[in-house]
Amino acid sequence: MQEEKFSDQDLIEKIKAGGKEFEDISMWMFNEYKGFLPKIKEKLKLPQQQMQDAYADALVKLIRHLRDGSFRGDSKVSSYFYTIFYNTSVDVSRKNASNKNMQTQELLEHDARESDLLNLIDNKDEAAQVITVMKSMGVLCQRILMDWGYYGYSMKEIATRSDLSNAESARSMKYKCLKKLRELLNTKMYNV
Amino acid sequence: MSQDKTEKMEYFISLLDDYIDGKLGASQTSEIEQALKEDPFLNEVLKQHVQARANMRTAGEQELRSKFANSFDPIPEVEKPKSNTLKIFLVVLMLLGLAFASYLYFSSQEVSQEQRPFTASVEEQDGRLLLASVEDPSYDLLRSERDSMIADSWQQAVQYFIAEDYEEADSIITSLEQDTVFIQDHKGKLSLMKGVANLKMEKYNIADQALSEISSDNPYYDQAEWYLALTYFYAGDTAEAKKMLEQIISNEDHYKRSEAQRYFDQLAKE
Repeated sequence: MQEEKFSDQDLIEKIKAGGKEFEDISMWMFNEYKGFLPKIKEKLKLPQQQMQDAYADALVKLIRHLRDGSFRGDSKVSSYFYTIFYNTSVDVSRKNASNKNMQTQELLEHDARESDLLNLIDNKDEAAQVITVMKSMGVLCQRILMDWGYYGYSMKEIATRSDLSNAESARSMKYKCLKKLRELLNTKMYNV
Repeated sequence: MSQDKTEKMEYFISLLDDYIDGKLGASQTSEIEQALKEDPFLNEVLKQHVQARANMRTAGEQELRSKFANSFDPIPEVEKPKSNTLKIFLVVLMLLGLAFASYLYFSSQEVSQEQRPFTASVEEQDGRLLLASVEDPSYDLLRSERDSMIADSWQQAVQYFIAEDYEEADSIITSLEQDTVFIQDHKGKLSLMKGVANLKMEKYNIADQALSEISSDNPYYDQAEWYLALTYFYAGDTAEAKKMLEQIISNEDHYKRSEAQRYFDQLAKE
C-alpha cells in the first residue's frame, strides 16, 4: 500500500469509510508525511522523541478533521497536515519553555467549532479518564465499542474481529456495552 | 416505569445512534424528536449516549496515537560527545607515551654506545690479546662542564677520543695540562685519558707515566690500575704486567678482576 498514491478525495473517502480502509490509509499517511519531521525539527530544534509525539498527535487531529468535515478542501491535505503538525510542535516547544498560557492560534481552516462533543474532551487528563472507564468495561466491550464508535467497522466485521457468531450478536453486544458505558459515565460524572 | 413504557424507551434508545448519524427516515426522526420533547429522561439518555460515543472516539484516538508512536523506528542512542577533559587527558597520555618511547629508544642507543667499551671482550689473534680491542674508559667519566673554555676543550678531547683520534685527543690534553687549576681538580680523568690514548698509540712510556700519576685515593685509580697493567702487558714488560694483574685479581671488588685473570693466564702460558 505504501507504494500507492492517493488523491485527497481518496484519502477522505477511505477515512470516512472506516474499518480496514480507515486503518490502512491511516498508516499510509503516517509513512507518507514523515518527511515533514526533519524539516520542523530543524526549525524548532525539538528532541526527536517530542517530535515523534507531536507527529502522532497531529496525524490523529488530521484524521479527525478529515472524518468530521472540518477540512474544507481549501488546501492540499498534505499542506493542511503540515500546518497542524507545525502548530502542534510549536505548542510542545512553548510548553518546554514553561509558557503554558500561550496557545497556538486556531487554524483558519477549522475555525468552525467541531460538531461533536469529542472536541470538548480533547484535554489529555480527561482523555486518560475516558480510557480508564473504557478499560473498566473489559476487553471485549472496549474492542467492540472502539471498532464501532471510532474505527467504523461494520457489525459483520466486528463479529469476525471479536470472535462473535454473527453481526446480530455483535449488534446486541454493542448495545449492552454502550448501555454499560452510559451507566459508568453517568455514575462517574454525576456522583463525583 | 410500566412494561409498555420501558419497551418504548428501549425502542427509542435503539434509534439514538441512527438518529445522531442522520440515518433515520423522516417518520422515525419525527417520532423520536417528539419523544425527546415529551420525555426528559429520554433527553438525559440521549445526552449520555452522545457522551459515551465521544468517549469511544477519544479512546480510539488514543489507541491510534499509540499505534503511530510505536510505528517509529527506535531512536538510536546518541553517543555523548567526549568531554574536553577526557580529550586533553588522552592527548597528554599519548604524548607521555611518545616521550617514554623516545626515552627508551635513546637510552638504549646511549647504553649500547657507552657499554660497548666495557662489555666487549678483548679479541684474540693467534692466542694473543689484541691492544686494538682493549676497551676505552667510560666517556661519562671523562666529561666535565667546568667553565666554558676549559669545558669546550675537554669536550673536544673527548670527541676525538671517541672517534679514536688519539693523537688529537692527546694534543688537547697536553694543552690542558698547562691549566694548573684544571689539573688540580681533574688530575685523575686527565691522566687516565692521556694514558689510554698513548697506550692505544703504543706510546707505552708516556702511558705508564700518565697512569702512574693517578694516586690510590683518586676515584679513577681502579681504571688506572687496569690500563697500567695493560700498558705493561702490551709493552712486553711481563713482570710489571703480572705484578699489576695480580694486584687487580687479589682485589675481590675490582671491576676488571675476571679479565685480569684472563690476561694473567695468557702471560702464564708464555
